[in-house]
Amino acid sequence: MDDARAREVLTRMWVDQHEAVTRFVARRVEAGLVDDVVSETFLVAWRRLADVPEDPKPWLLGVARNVLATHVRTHGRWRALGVRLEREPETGTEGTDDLAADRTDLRRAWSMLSDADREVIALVAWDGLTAVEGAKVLGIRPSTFSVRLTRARKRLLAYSGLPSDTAAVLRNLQETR
Amino acid sequence: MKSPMLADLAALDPARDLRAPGRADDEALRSILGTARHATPLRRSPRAAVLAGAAAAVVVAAGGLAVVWWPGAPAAYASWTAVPNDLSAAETTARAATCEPVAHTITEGPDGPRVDEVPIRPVLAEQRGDYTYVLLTGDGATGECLVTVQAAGATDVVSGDAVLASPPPAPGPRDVTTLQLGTASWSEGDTGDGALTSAYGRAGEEIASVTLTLVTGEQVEATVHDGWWAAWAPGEAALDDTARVTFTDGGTAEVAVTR
Repeated sequence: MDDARAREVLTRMWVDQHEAVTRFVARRVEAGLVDDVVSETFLVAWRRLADVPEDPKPWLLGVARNVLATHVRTHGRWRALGVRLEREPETGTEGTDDLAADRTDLRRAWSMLSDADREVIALVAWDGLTAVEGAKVLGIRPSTFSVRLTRARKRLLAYSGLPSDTAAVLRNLQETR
Repeated sequence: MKSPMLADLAALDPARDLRAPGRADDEALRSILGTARHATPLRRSPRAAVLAGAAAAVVVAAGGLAVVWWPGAPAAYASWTAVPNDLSAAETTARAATCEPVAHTITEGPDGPRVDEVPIRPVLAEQRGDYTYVLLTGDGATGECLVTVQAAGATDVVSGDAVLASPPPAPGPRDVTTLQLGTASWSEGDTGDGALTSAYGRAGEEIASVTLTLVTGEQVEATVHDGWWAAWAPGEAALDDTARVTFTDGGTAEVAVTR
């Protein structure tokens, strides 16, 4: 690929994928690091342009995940890599009471999931990926991704439908297995 | 197809309202396009990681050794002393707890840079003024960590790690070997840069002390502990390539400190 063509390809990728990569990163690190991680991700793409598949999104998110791991371990905040959930909203901004209650249950259930469970769910629910694409991000087989997603979803469902103390007991049981 | 629960979760996406469209004239894109496409692998390219700007690491590579220093330390070393203070075992443990217990290898893989971890544990800790230096080692890997306790009780930690080409051989009783000698620097974007010069290696069981000399003539006493020795000096200090060694029987010798 000549340089002019390479610039064209990366520019197109930047325009098409910048927002998706930024959102993926923004869920995982503090705001001050987001731009650096995104830039570094596209820098890797620039240097490995020949390796970027036709559908670049899962590949870019996989690179971003590796770059994040480097940054976050670097700063001793490995645990922070887990996908965050939207901050607790102000009272009264959530619409109907039922909806608010559902959200609270879901939020609580989410907080009880392991980082690995959150990651597979977030790839589908937030990044809008299929199991095949999500598997590419994590570098695992699609069948493995599907199994993990099913289990994570079951746990989320179990935790959100139970009283909080029962859910905590259930989670502890699963952790000790 | 998404389940209703996954749809509900979408509403809780912290980045739901984040808009970050990429534009062809973005400054960040322009600076990427301005770099060489066929860069050397990260661990052999001292400048590669700096391109990311703030909070990037500086990679210093030499021979089979890649040393990565991470940002986070203060730039000045006002209270540094040429002679280290001993730390109690409890203090060593407490300070070392803030150091990363792993060394990293960074290799370029088909899916971008890949980071592997090698566990390391503290083998030596020393204090010079407000700064605690910890040497950590593991299977063919070493780490260095500089901890500064701030006035408010917060700690600043800067750490570097290296994966050795081969595990260091055990030294003879009167041997001093050098695994690392040189200056590592780091960049914190606009907020500050830092550098320190360090040396460490294995020390035989009859080694009582190791004294290094800066090219300015100042002598720096190393810490010798449990088969290891280490010393550091602020900034980009240059060290003489010989050190004076005292043996447990009182004898002395000049030894080369080169890798």
